[in-house]
Amino acid sequence: MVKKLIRHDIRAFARTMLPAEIIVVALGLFCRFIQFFESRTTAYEIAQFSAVGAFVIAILAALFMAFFTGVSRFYKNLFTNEGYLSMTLPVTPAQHILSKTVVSLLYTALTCLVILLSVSLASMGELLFESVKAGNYLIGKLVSLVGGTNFAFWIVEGILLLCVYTVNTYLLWYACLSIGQRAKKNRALAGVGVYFAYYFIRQIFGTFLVIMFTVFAQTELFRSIGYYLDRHPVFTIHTFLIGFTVIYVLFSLLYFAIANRMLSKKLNLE
Amino acid sequence: MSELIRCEHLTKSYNGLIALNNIDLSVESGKIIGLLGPNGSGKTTLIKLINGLLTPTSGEIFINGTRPGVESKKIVAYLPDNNFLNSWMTVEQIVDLYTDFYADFRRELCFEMLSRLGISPSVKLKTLSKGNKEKVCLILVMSRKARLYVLDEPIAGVDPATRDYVISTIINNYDPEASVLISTHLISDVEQVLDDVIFINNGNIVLHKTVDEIRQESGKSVDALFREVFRW
Amino acid sequence: MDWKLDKDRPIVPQICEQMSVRIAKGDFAPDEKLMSVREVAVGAGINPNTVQKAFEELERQGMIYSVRGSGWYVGADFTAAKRAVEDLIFFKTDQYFKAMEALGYDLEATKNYIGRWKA
Repeated sequence: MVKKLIRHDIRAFARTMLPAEIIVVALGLFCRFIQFFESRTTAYEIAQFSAVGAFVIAILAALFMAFFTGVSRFYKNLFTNEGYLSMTLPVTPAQHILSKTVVSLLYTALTCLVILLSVSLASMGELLFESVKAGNYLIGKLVSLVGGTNFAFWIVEGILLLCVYTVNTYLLWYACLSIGQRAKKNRALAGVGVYFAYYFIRQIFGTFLVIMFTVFAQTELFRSIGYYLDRHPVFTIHTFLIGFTVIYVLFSLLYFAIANRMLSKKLNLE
Repeated sequence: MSELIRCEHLTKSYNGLIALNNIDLSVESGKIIGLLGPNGSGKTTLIKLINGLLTPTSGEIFINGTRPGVESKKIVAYLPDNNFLNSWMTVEQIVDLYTDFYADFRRELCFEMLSRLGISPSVKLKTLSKGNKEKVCLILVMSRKARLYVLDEPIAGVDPATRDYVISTIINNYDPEASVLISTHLISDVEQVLDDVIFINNGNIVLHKTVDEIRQESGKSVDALFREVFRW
Repeated sequence: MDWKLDKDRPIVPQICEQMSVRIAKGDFAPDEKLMSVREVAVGAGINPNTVQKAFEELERQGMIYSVRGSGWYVGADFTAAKRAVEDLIFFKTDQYFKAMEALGYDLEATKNYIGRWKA
């Protein structure tokens, strides 16, 4: 059933996202195309500036749209009129949440890839060649320092962390919207309110942690840990990447559980 | 003959307000039942509980022996009071969705009914008139071969000719293994089609009899009795 | 078939009455197959269960009979139907006279009036 939900969600997202992706690629190509007319005239300068400007705006817009679609589709599909259809399908709330999360992640990743591709296309030629050369050199140096395996693992851990972070972001919003829809009026706004309230609480908690950390930093234990980490930078980075991944995974599970509970027991369709 | 709906001491309250008060109800298969009551009587709450959109505060509700959930949703076809169609899909796409998720969906019958009402599959849902949107919703629901149909105000927003069409679709679709629960204000239009009638008021079931029993005992139509019982 | 159904009387007796009138009038041949329960239900805009109950009542009164797996058939003779129509005529006449009495015409005056009636 989840596969069916995913398929329908992909189609729903494609309505807005596919045009966005196409526009990004098109503007990227246009930027490259403009360069064929390179000259020192003001006309060219303006044209190039506009092209690049439009390209950058399109990129930012596409990223924002991916995020916004991911969050708003969850709300629209489950808590508005459409909810009367969605929530009476023979599907569990958990399956709904999973589908939306997966498809949101998919489109976010797709948008990033499309952006990377478009930027490469836009800078095709000298600029790209030099960038790739520089990149290769840096990577080569790093690999010789820490070893190929470590580097490869870092890449994997890094990508995993990015995915988990993205999933975490969406699930947090889903949980907040699910709590917000229990309100009597302005349910979407209430959801946004929950998000900011939580953000506020996190800031306070974060400050508290910083204070604790400063206190902790005076201890011997801290000094010895720091000494060890200093001596084992590779290990440190692995720990950092994996550690944060684990934290985000745990919080994702929490947010998932909250959204699931709200959808199962506390649904408030109007 | 199976028991499609069973409510045992079913209570639902929100914020201290009791919407359904200790309801006991049994609905068998092969019946067309009218759920009649004024606004705020608890009709919508009961319907949402049947469809698993709400959970009971206390008591139990069973749909064909199971609590509302994935299994019950497979056999319950729900036509809500409001338009549940999203705006960007075409008729064909929403039919595809129903085909995908409901094993009991009769796709050919659906297209046949749509064409008989002159609704083309490639049309976008948002371009349909209000009346046509309601017809599409009804056709989607009636194209399922469900065990329990729950129709919330199926004829309220449509013209008299379409009302007749809705009612004859319900009759044509009759299946001794299935039941139809119709919640409506337009009693006099549907009372001929009903087997049983449930009057509900302030979260309580006030009456549960057959149409002929009511007419025999009170000498009135169900509509007239309703007006009497629920007089202000 | 056109059915005229009153909303303030139970449906089953009304179906039975109208069926018996049709049978008595000779709308059907003896042993003719009747419309299915479902067809009658759709035509009259009523519940198939109601039609089923009405047909079972008509069977009980001897006007129609059912053949398993085949459907419902008009009886071989129409005596039961004719008798039912006579009952109906009596009932309607009785009601008529009562109504006339409420208007101030006793039995004699009403009969007199009918005697002079030209349709």
